[in-house]
Amino acid sequence: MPSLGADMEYGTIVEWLVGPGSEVSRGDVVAVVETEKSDLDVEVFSDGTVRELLVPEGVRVPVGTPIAMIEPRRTRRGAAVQPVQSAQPPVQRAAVTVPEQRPPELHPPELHSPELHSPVLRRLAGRLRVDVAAVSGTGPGGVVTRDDIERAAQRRRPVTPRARRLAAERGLDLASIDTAASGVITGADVERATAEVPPPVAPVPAGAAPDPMRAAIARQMERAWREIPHFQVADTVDVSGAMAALAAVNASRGVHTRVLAGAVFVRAAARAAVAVPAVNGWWRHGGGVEAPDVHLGIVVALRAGGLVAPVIHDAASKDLDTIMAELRDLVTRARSGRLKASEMTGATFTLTQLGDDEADTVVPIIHPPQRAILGLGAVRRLPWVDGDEVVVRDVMRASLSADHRAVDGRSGSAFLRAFGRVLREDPV
Amino acid sequence: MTVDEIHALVLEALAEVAPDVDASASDADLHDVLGLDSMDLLNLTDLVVTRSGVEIPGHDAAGLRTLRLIEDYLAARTA
Repeated sequence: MPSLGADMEYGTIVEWLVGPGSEVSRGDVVAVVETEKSDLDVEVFSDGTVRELLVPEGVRVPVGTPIAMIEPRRTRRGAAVQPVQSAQPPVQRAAVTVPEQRPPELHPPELHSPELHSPVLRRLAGRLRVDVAAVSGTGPGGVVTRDDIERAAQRRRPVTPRARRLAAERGLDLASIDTAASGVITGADVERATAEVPPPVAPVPAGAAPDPMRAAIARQMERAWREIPHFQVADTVDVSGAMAALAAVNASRGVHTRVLAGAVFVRAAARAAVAVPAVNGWWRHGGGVEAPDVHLGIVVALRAGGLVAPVIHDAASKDLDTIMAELRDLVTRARSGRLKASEMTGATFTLTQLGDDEADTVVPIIHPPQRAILGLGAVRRLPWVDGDEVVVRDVMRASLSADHRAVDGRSGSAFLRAFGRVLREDPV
Repeated sequence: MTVDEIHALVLEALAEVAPDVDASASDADLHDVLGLDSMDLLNLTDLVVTRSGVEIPGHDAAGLRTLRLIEDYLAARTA
């Protein structure tokens, strides 16, 4: 069970999207996991074949629990089977490898027999859910071999357990389903095919137990407030030039490629964090660690209340259009779809923006174990002294909260100056 | 497009971008009252533009702060 956030302790497998025998490649989504904050797609971090699912759907397990066994590709014989337990290196502890016992030649199947007498192959067929009677053998005399079983398992369209259950409940023949691009029949495919709307969730009456997302936010913020000696620095930044540059970028564009001011600020924050690396990283085990790259967490408020902070990885090396595309995708899926586990982990720094027409200052709380967070208020048109004149400018209040165990005020101030400089000199 | 078709198109786009928002509030400010932020408004405008074929330039989009204003804008350009 991967850690999908610093405060996550347990996760529930909502749905398996693969089963025993599925070939998987790095980056494939293999399961949907429910955390206290949201449902997330969990990706696999190696190539191979799923041997066994260790945690059934609906079961809640602690972070770190192996949830599936994957046999790596390219090592056919005596292969090590690796437990899938983590989507992220920092929590990938105790990667126990279990040598698989499969001496196939010890029990050769009998010639001319349609049945499988090898207990090893029978077990394999059972595990891969292959009907041996339906497999035509290619071994000597037409016997079914290990390869035949494995090929049959691959040809069969995999069905997730949830899809199987839903199909049984609704009397749907799984063979009639058009699978999604992945070729796996999921619960969503069955729901579409039966065109049934899932029953509405009953509203929680006032005074009932707090919802899990609120509880998770509460735990994380309590930890931050209890453990982190925050200090704050703030500055008013003239963003008139940046807003004019953005308007020029958007002038000739259709709505599909339009860039929002939020993307300009993400870009500037990431570049400023490169210029002042002291604010970028973590405080862990009593020591500070500066991160080599900037993975920028973006606080996204959900309309129903609560928030999530998906991550734009390597934000400092991305151009404005790339950042806008990722920002739009992450915000949209945070609200209406689902985020991937890798998109929720690894942040080295966080940005929270109030947006248009909101308050002009936000002094945020750090997301542990990170060491700083930047809060941006609404852009306002205000009087501004330029040389000896008072002029009307677009200005924004930028506040940095930092962990004083790891960062000093001078670095915090240097970061805000760098942020303002990027917006003035290199805004888009 | 007829007025009814435009109305249906806009409501459907809103339901996709913000399924939890009260779509009957035609004159409510999309940001201040209905709680859509700049990203929601961009997604809403994008869907409306794609489906109606009416391009909405940025300086016009900023003024379309209610569902009724969006519908009137489309009606004036598809008549």
